[in-house]
Amino acid sequence: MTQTLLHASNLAIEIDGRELVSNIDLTIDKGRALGIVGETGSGKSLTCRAFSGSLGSIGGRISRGTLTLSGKDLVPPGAHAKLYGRAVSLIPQNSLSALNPLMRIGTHLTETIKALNADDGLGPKVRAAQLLDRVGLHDPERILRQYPHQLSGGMRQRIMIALAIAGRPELLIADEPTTALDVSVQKDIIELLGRLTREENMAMILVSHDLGVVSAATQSVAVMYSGMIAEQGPTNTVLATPRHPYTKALLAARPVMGHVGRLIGIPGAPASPDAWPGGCRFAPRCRFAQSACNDAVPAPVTINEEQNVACRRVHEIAALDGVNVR
Amino acid sequence: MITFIRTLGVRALQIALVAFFVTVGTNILVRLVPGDPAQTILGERASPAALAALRQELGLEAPLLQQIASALGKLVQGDLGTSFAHRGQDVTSLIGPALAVTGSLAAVAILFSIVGGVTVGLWIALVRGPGADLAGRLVITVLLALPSFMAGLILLYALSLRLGLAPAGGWAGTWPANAQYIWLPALALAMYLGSLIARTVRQAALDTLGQPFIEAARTRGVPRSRIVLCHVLPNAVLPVIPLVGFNAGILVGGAVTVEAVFALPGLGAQLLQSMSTRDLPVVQGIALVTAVAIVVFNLLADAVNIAADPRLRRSH
Amino acid sequence: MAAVAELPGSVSVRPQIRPRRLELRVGIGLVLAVVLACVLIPILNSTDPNALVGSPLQPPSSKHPFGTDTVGRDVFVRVFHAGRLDIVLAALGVLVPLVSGTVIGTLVGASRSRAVDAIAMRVTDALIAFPFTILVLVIVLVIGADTQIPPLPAGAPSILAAVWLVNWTIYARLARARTHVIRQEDFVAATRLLGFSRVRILTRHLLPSVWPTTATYAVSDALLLVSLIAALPFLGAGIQPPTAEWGNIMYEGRGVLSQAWWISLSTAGVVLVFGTGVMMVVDSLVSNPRRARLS
Repeated sequence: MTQTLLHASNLAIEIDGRELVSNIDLTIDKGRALGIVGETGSGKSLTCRAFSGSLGSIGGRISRGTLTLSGKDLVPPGAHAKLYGRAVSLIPQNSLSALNPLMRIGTHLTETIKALNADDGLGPKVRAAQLLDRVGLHDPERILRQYPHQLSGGMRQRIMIALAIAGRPELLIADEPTTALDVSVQKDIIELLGRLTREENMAMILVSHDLGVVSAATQSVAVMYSGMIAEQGPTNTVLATPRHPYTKALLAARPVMGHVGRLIGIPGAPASPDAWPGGCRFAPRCRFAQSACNDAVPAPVTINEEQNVACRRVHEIAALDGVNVR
Repeated sequence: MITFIRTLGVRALQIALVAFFVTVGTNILVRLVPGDPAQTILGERASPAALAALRQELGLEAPLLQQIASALGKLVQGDLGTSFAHRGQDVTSLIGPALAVTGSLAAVAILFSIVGGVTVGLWIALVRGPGADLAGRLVITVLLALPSFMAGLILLYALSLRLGLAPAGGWAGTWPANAQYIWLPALALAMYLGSLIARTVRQAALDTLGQPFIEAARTRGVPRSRIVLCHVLPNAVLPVIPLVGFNAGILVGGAVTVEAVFALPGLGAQLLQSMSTRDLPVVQGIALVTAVAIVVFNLLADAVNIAADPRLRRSH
Repeated sequence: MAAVAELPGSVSVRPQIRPRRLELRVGIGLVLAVVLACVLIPILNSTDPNALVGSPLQPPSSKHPFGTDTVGRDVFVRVFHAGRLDIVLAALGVLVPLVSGTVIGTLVGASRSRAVDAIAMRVTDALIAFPFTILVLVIVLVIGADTQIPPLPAGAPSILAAVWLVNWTIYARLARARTHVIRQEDFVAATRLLGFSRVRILTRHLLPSVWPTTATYAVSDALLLVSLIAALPFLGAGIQPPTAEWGNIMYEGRGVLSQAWWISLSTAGVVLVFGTGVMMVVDSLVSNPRRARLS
């Protein structure tokens, strides 16, 4: 029986009075992995910050809705105070800037371990070496003595993962964990994340703009556009049979080996938050758009009991594919 | 290590250049400018014969290049020449004790500046009430505009003459007795550098607080106290070292004037005396010595900086 | 002043002059107040600054707002006559190095010869680290502290000459650094492609972009010069009495500080108001602090 770990309902996030993310409904169960996909400006990073408790430093706050972790309310600022590193942990996007350049790797690890009381009775240094070993870094003794700028991007990312799992969090949030890495290293990091989450029974939220990464590592996925969730559901289903026009266009835009001819992009560009239309935010670029789409923000429609699609024409569009959906 | 040796080389070159320029420069200037050092020493009513003899003795008759060469030659051997006013006494023995006094004044002032400046700078950055920030910035602005000797006058009046907390100038000659005479002038001298440090540390602390690794540490669960102590503090204090090195020149200039206010027997007093007796070799000697001292000081600052910032070392 | 107060990194790459309005206005106000006082008070109050107006060492009164000095002259009148001298000297002392240093520095920065650049760097480096005050003293001594060029009082010409000789280096340094940055810009490459003469490139394109950087420094330099000139009497040089000069008034006052604090301290007060004003102007023209929250 899976248990709900994180639950967000009708969540909205604003910065300095401007609402940048709206109507987020997401649920993550224990031990499961959810991917959040979107372009720059889709609001995925902000959502990530809301979950991990990092909105304060950019002047943001949750303006509407509910957010709970194992029943604990995460909406008030400061709600994450005792949870950092213990219940929720974040792997930041850029590993180099997330590490103090004047501090050795070992110190980063031992201070985290001490702060979280997570040395398992072994002493911080031993536990630190152990963590490095778990994330696949050999020769931990040498690495502990080094400074961040002396290590490669891949090694640093593994260290960020080690730091994030030190306190055995229930929920691990990985913000674009592979974006800054070489392709060959990306695969290793994704496999590592998958292995760790299984072994520690951690839930994971993986934020990325890379569909390939998400398909390899997650069981469910939410596709975001302009601050809202366009479509969400089981990863395989969404990627194989996308129902939202945006997801369709996104998948169609992926280059395929052996393809000859023009690459299809999505015409236009996402609007800035000040210019968001009153109705469906994708309507200006959507090839299925009708005038009624601009009247109101589309409510999510459930397809086949597992996919949620925020589009009023989802049934008609599916029919065009020759499929009947309920 | 390589970085350090390279820095050492650059600084050594600087010393050589500075010494060269000062020596050559003053020798040329003396020649170019109308006026006769011998005349000024012996006064208006000296006889032509006496003047000629003195000029011969001071080596002023020789051609310019020869004078310069001889001056440089002596310099390399560590000989700063002979005083015009105190005939027969070499400059080095005159300057030596004075240098020790000025040196200790500068050292104590630097200590006060660093301790005070870092504390105040951090406090303003981390307390962060808009009132404290504004007040702090205002005070710093005023102190930066205050010349050292004026700070000396004000402190002398307020703390010594009115409140009697310190002697009104003078020197004991031996340590630790000197301590009571040195702290007030050192405080006056520290006003400027301390304010500069406070401002820099405040800015560095604010910049550090905005760095991603601070937020990353917080989301890892590191407590705020540790973040301030172990992450913000070292990064905020780092720019202080090169700052002090850079301001060594201003500090020495200020030290010299503050000494004059507090009647300390340092280079300032030495200058005062040599200026009135037109004793060029002594003044020139002081210029050289202080220049070299500053470059050496900069070298020390470089060394500390390399030791403290791992990014400056060549990676293995 | 042949030394830079802040770190070399703070020479802004793009001098976006975004003055902090209030600070700028208060600063200009303070400076103007002192300058106006120095202009107007000697006109409105006809007392001769060197005249004996009463018994020596009298405390401040309505007749003599700053009291009288060691021989019985009115300190108030002296202070503002002195202000004229100090401010004019500082302005002159800044202007020549500003112009010469900027031009030299821009030329060096625009030159494509690495040798020229390397030599210039080493020379200026060596001179900048120097204790400016002492260097000026050496030069003053050599030139002769008594030379007089009317209308400047005795001692002024040698001080000015010393400052002009030494102070250009920091401007050259700033100008060179700024020129290096600008010459990377596209518009400079465009002028070369268009075939403009080198002189034209220099005067019409490079210099106008370099001036703001060096002129901003010139303002703080003026303050440093005022401090220097005022400090000289304490070191045995400087403008000699009876000519009124801020420094020599304070120097004379030092001897009687315990009995007659008003001589030195009232002068210091006026200098401080002036200095704070200049400092505020400089600060408002330079950087902008970035705020962060540790929430």
